[in-house]
Amino acid sequence: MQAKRLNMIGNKSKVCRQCVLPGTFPGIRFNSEGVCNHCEQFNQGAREHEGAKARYRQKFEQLLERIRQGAGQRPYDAVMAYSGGKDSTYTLMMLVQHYRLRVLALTFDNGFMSERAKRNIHAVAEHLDVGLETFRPAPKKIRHAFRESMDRCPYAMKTLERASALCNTCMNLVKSYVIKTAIEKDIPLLVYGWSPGQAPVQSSVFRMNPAVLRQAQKQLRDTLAPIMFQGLEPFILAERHYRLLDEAMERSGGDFLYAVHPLAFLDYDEENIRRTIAAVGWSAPLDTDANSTNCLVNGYANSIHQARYGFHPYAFEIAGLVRYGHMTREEGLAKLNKPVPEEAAHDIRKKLEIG
Amino acid sequence: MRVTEGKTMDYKSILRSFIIENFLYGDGSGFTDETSFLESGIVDSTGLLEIVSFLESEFGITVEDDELIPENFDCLVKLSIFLARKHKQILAEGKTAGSAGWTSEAASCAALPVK
Repeated sequence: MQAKRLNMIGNKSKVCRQCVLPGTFPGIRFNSEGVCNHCEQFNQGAREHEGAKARYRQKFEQLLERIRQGAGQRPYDAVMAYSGGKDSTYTLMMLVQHYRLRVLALTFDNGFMSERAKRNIHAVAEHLDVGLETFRPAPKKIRHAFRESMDRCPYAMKTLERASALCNTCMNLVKSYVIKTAIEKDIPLLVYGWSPGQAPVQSSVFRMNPAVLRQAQKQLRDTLAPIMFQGLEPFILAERHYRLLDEAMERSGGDFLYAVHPLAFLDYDEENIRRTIAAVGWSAPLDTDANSTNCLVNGYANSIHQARYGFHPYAFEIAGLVRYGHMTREEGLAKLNKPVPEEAAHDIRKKLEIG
Repeated sequence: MRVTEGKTMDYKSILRSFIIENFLYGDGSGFTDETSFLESGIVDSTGLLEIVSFLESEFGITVEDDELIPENFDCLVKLSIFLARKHKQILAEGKTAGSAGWTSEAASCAALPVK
């Protein structure tokens, strides 16, 4: 289902008085005080949010206990989708140093990684003494997929609320590759460094059910096969993976293939995170946009999305961070309003072979 | 959408409103009780978790790991049957259901036809 370009008659200049969502955000409504429907819903349930964080943290820690008891001959407890950005670096640190997990850090090099991010990945993996695998898929196929994603936009508008078409394609490939790796290597936990604004805390610890996984893989194939041709095969599950999954589920009593994003229930403070990860060798890239600390194509993809749909694809995440008190509204607006330098955009267009 | 205590509503209507408002931006044309969320592309895997979040916060139920399956979640009919069952269970256990609470009268409006 491709996104319909919704009638963007929303007021571009109107922004929620509480968060950062603009009048052009899909489905947004404002009350008489200029507060959006997302904030109203959040405000009504705000007291429950801390309770939900505590519950999911407990769920995670109880899961870890069971996994440790059933570790057996497993080489790793968790595979971490490690982008080299600040949030995934902090998450990796917490897994290793706080939770004492045996982690395989898995990096997906989409061909647009900042050189500083690559150095960060190696420095941090060295410091934390974790295994590191990097998968760099066929670069022309990926660039083709990115171009086609922006041109054809094969995603529903709901999906585009959270990320640009290009970023959705990249993230879908990463997630599928992480799942595939976990199944092949018998690793029970998949961990992502998503910020609290990216996904609800109720999704922060969930088990991937085989039947739902099969349907999600079908959806992935239907969406991406037309733009990736044979380039999709390295990422998707084959029948043998479902057999391995069934066996792993049976062996572990169901404690297998849990997807976790711990920053949803851990304390999240950007300044503290930056200070903490500096101690393990991380330093901020200078060539990425305001909303990424690892990827060079992110800013360009965001600008295309904004021009096409009238809202910044990071607005949803930043709105969440503002509501939860992790960022002020002014800081959030500053991140969204910082333009991508034309020289950087030109370099990306050249690399993607666009116009 | 926030359920008001004492208000009698059937689960399917509430869920239909939620799906249409949050995933279809008010345009429910072509969306039926049997429309598969995943196959139609209306809901992706992240969206399924958004539905879980809605059920948990609005109705006070907990969706267990082995309950997140297509048989419970993939269309309006299945989802409303699942919700009705979970909700009855909570009321039978005497737990408060949802952020606004539900009456047993509301919970009894759960006799939905099974296709």
